[in-house]
Amino acid sequence: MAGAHNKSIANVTAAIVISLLTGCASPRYFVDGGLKDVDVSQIERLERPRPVQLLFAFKIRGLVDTRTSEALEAEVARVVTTSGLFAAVDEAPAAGGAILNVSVDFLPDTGSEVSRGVAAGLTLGLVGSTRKDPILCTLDYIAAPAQDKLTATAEHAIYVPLGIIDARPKGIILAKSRVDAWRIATGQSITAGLRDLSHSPAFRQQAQTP
Amino acid sequence: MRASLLCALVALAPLAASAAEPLGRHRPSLESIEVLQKSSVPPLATGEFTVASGAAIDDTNGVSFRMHKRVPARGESLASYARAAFVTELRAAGKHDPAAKAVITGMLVESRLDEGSAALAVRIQVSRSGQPVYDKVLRVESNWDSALLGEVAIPDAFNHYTELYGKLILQLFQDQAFIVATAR
Repeated sequence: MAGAHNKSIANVTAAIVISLLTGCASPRYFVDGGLKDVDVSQIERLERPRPVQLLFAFKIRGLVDTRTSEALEAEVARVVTTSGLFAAVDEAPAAGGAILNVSVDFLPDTGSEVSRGVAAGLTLGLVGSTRKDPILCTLDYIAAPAQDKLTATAEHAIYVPLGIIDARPKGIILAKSRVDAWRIATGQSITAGLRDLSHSPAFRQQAQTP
Repeated sequence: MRASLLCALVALAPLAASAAEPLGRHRPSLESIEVLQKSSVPPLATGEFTVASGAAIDDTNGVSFRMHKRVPARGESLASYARAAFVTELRAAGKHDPAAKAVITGMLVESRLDEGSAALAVRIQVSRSGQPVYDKVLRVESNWDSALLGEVAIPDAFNHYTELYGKLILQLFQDQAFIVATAR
């Protein structure tokens, strides 16, 4: 009886080790706190905003991820609309031809993933580490066809802890899931980019009707 | 026995194949919009998109990679996914008109996703008032270093595959023969 119990414990231990070795033991996702205080109230409103065509793509390592883009597009449209910088926001071409092209590029640092996952697994999770996955958000505003782009960028990051010992930096925000982390980071990055655009004299001139 | 089964499930869960997931709606690109806006291409209609007879394409079952599968939206096929991609790009550039005299149709000739390689080929035909004015097979390919880890390799592979639709459409919009044929 005791032998069977010990065998069960050994099996469970082995299963947990294997699970950790695969690096897939229910990862948690945290959003960097650097942009958490960015708010729509920091965006300088325009008196006579123009409508804009919104293009959005969420990318992973520079490649458009259609599935995630679709999951986040409603949130992106909401953030751009509530900025108050545009009279109307739509996927279709806008009167006057203005375009806001939003690209959010997720650049995960997966190069050393295997060695870190194995280190955490072999030590039963005692060797903790935290992967930082940068996000680069680029907003291009084009007031009319053939006109030069006005660009604003915002840098963000998502953290994925590995192992039991907490090696997380301070001030990061726990997300419900990876997509939720992307949603939070995308919304904050775009708000930061729109805030910077709204303070640009060139944007303020081009994004308003005369 | 029950403990062993539980252990096996815990260990294998991360490795298990997931169910089929949607391909995700094609995203219009700024580059395609700018190319179309600068060209003399008039508004176009989109006709039927099908799979060429004899082409080794599992039209309704999407694409697979390492036991993961991405499928077009319910009731759609890869051919209709290609058509929807064309409509999306034309509409975003203000060049889609279902009543236009010039109509684009397509025939999937190749649709492939392998380890570190993907390809898409479509025979594009354009007719004006029923008369053929353009007929060409366009092909795009992508090659990359496929990662060992599924977490990296699987989304990369599907994203390389879906990007081919945008590349192929851009190739068409930049084709001088297409621009001349549609502008006549």
